[in-house]
Amino acid sequence: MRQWLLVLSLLLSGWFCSIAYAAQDWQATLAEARGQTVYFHAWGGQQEVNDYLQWVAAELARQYDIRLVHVKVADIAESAQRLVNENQAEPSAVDLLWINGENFHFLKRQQQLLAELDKKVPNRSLLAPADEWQRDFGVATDGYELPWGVGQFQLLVREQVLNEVNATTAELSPQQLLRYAKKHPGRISYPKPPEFHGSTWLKNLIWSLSAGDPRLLEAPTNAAEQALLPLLWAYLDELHPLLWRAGEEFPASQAQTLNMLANQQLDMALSFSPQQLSQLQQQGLMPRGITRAYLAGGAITNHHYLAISRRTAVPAAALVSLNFLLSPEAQQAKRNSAWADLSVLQQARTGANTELFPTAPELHVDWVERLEQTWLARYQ
Amino acid sequence: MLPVLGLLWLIGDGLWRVLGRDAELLSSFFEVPGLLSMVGQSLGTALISVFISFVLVLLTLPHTLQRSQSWFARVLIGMPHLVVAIGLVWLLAPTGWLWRVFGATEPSITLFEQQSLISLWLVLVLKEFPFLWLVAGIALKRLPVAKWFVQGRALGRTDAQIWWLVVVPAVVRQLRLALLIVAVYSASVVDVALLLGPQSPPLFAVQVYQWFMDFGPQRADYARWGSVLLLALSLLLVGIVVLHERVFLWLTARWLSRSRVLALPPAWLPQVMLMVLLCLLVLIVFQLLILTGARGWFFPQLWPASWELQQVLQTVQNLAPTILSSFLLAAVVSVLATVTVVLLTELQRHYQKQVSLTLVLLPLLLPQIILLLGWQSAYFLFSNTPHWAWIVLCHLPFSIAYTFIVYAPIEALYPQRTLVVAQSLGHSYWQAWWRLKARSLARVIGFSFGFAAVIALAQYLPVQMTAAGRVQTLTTEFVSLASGGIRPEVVTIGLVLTLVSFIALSLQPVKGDTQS
Repeated sequence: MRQWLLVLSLLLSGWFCSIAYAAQDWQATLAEARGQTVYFHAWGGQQEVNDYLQWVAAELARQYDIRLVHVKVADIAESAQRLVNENQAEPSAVDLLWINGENFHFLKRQQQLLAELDKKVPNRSLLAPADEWQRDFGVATDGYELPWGVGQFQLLVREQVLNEVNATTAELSPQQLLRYAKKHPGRISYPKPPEFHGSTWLKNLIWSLSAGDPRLLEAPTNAAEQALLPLLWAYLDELHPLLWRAGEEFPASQAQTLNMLANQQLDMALSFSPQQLSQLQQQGLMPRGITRAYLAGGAITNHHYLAISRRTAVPAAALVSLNFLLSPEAQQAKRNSAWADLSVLQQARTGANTELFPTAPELHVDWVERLEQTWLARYQ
Repeated sequence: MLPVLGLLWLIGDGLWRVLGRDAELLSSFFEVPGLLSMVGQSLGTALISVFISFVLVLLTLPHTLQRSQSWFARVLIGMPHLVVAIGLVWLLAPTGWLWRVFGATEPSITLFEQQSLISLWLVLVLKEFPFLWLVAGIALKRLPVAKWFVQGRALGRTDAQIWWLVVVPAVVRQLRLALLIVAVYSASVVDVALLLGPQSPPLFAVQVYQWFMDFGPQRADYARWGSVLLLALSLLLVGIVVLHERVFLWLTARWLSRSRVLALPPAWLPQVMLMVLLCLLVLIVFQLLILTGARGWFFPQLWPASWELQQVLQTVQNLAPTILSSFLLAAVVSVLATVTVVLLTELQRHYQKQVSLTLVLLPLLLPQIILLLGWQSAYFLFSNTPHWAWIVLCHLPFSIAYTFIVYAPIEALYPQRTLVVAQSLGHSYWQAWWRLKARSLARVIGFSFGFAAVIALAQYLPVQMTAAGRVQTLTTEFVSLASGGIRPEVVTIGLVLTLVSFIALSLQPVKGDTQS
């Protein structure tokens, strides 16, 4: 018994020591971070996000004496390319990044990201269960990135679409959509893949048409491709002549489809933000009479993440900034801001996130390449 | 040196990969779906924008360039292509404002819409014509046109013959470089082509840009091979433009000289053209101004349901530091570019050697992203952290090239003997240059300076790829925000950018630019 008590007390004291050491360690990080400047490379295409990051910068300066510079880029791939092209023996000009999916895989593969973020960032313990975010487009995050917010693929449709196909909920099957297109030719379209929303449309469609075939979550095999891809191409062959401009031309971007929906040129647009419709309507940039829907089988749901460059010159300030972005205070402010991005914290999950539809998982990243390339070969 | 470095990188890294890789990979590049259409569309777009702009310039060539006539050209030159495109979309597209005025029903047939080559051509012509027109106007002012008319009439020639056989060929020769730039730019433009051009397939430059931004298998190779093909396309266009000039001059000499029905372009034509452009410009600016504060403005409503002006003021207020950094960068770059070009032209006179035109124009002929990657690689040998001087240096080749195009042909017409006379009276060369030549060429120097500033203001990739956030400009703000769609804030920044560019182009000396 005594021996057991001894072992237990040793274990407990070890645990307390590690906590004390970690706290001391974090205090040292906070001290080191003071007065440093962090260059945060993030997509600058949404004013609401830019405004929120201005608030974050002000708070970091006030609370931690850190200067956060939002480097607005049109495509985060620009920053990813820069990281790889830089002199690998020198500190990087990029400190913090807002990434996910393909960009993350590329940077992880190229060993450009700081490891063990899950151990270095204290607020990691507040995150929702890891099984929700530990795979980014089918690839393990492995501590190279931490989730910042949630995205879900949704359809924005005129209310008449749901009424005409007798949909009782917001769920639309591909066949119902086809029926609407037959009745109203030229009123539906989607951004041309490999545009992100266009590609996700293909992914969600094949998930729906195959009734959620689990082979889509693994790297594609020849047998899986032969079994599943024909479902998608047969559907699109039937749908395309009924699309805007008979499917011979496609909008260049999601923003364009939103504009066409607002101005009655289309009856459907795509979105990856559950809050986008209400935001646009509040700002008077989208008329009433438009509602959210999702493809039968679930809406593809994923996270967007934060990562730190492996060669950052200011690791302490980058870690403190990331930690702050995952704090209850910053996550709550994000949720309440005009951006209204959903929180990734466990605490915020209970009873919240009512905007989310039933979810579908992200397909394995290799399927994206197959879908995009075959689509281009067939329809471009 | 910078273009040479970029070129070396291109040859070393790009061509080597093309030649050194597996032939199967290369053949897969040529099997990219729609490759031929993409290249064909790019070639056609470049040729159409050059030839239509050229014909319009010939028909409306201004006899004398008045300030009142040139201000609108300056606004159009200063307005970014993307801003013009946004204005036209909101004006002419099927749910645009003009259709709301005339009937409020979506037209069944429309010439202007997104994903259309014709729309793209219209924007390019609308932007490039004023540039060519202004360069032609400045050239015309420097040429001894009055003397040619006196001499021609004394020899019994009609005014139409003198105009077409003497004046126009002289102007066309001065336009060669400007035409080359228009052709190469039109073939390599990405932002406007993404907004307005076809997508299925897109223009070739758009596809190359997308390959650069894609991390899929073989994309890096495709991007490099695409750049080489884009370079070949640019060289082909240079050849076509030079050939076009020769054919045009040959035709005027052989065919027009025998023509009995030769006539001057009607005097009302420039006025009509001016009016049309003026109306279009006013409507575009009007649309953009409404867009900055409009809320609830959907087809078929003629006017917005409400206004949000607080947001506009907030956006402009937030832009203050960015406007300052843009101004500073543009001022430093344009001073250096103008001084460099003036020195280059003087040195080539002094040593009686022509500056290699290819070297000066190389930054405009090579795909910009390839050049920048080359310079980036060179800089990364020393450091990853950007320095102000490096950022300025990466802007210089583009501004120098454009300044050279505007300044050199006019400078070449200057009677250099006046400087020799002044030197014989005891002045040093540079004293004489300052007192006589600089004053005589004051306007073209002023315009070159303004133009260099506009080019510096309009750069996106050179700022992003070199500065990495250490410097942010109006254009980086505009392009990054525009990637999320045409929102009121985007239009506000676009208009501020236009205003700043217009101010730069309007910084002109009151006197000067006289024939010596």
